[in-house]
Amino acid sequence: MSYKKIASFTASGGETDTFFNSIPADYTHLAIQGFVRSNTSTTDMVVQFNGVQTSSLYCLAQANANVNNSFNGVAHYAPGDAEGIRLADYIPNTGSDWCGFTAHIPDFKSTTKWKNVISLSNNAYIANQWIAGSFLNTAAITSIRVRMSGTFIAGSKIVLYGLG
Amino acid sequence: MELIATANGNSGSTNIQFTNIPQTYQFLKVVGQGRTAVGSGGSNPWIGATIYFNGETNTSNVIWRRMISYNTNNWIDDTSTGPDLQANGTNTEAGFHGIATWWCTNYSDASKYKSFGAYASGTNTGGSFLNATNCGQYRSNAPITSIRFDFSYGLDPASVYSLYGIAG
Repeated sequence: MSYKKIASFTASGGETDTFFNSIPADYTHLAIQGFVRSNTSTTDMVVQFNGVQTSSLYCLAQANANVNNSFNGVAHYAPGDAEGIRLADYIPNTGSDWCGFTAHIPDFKSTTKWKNVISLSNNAYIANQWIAGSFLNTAAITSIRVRMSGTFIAGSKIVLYGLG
Repeated sequence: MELIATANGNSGSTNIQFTNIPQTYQFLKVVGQGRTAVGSGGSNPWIGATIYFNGETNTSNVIWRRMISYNTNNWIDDTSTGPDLQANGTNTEAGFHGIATWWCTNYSDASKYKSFGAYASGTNTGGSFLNATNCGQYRSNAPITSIRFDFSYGLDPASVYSLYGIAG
């Protein structure tokens, strides 16, 4: 397996989203990795596919463990509850803390299956977040929007890879 | 993604180390599997490794949280073991190795704390198993130039862990 960079985004500060368009169909899977920081606390960051912002087409489940030595358990967002699939939640906005994450989107160009995302991320508040979600649509993924509920702080970076 | 180095187990050493890590990538990734060596101790079905960066001898600059499920237990938050790769112990069948993949998102950045995470699993045919996710931070602005995973027990020479660099 190899990671081939398709595109990257480096925030200059103040952006609410970034787009990866015209994703080549040369790969089997996609990966999104990066480290980000927000201008506000308790911010989440989601992916949306193919321009679809309809919440009924997204669902996810999330498990958290935090730095206060407690397992926060899990949360489930049924179709209609979230306008995308989270890559990370509780993204930090203070001190030297940044949120690092790595996510995978298997078989993204299939035209017969719903698409899945699995992400693992951390930050200073919730040190371990394990999130998986589905895009309830069989269309091949050709574009990705990454949307921050706050805004990106300068230096935030997201890279999209194709995996052979 | 390019191979930086591969480290094999050594029954006389409890560590898997990667040193002189080039600073030319955006991300690091470790993939591997391992088990403890006969006679080295480490008889549990699974063995976690504690991580040390840049030659440090303690983890005062490291925070982590681990979510695990093992045997018949539901998912719990566990802090007893450091940010781990995973190996199997010697009470598992000889063919079984614990498996793990580990990543770091901004290891060469000189102005930010570093984020890392891992998926890991150890199992045997006797019904003992452990699945874990582990995420944390290296709370230092120093670029990461070396990583040491300490399993506390000597590793079977068949254990193998590879470090990769991924361009950004």
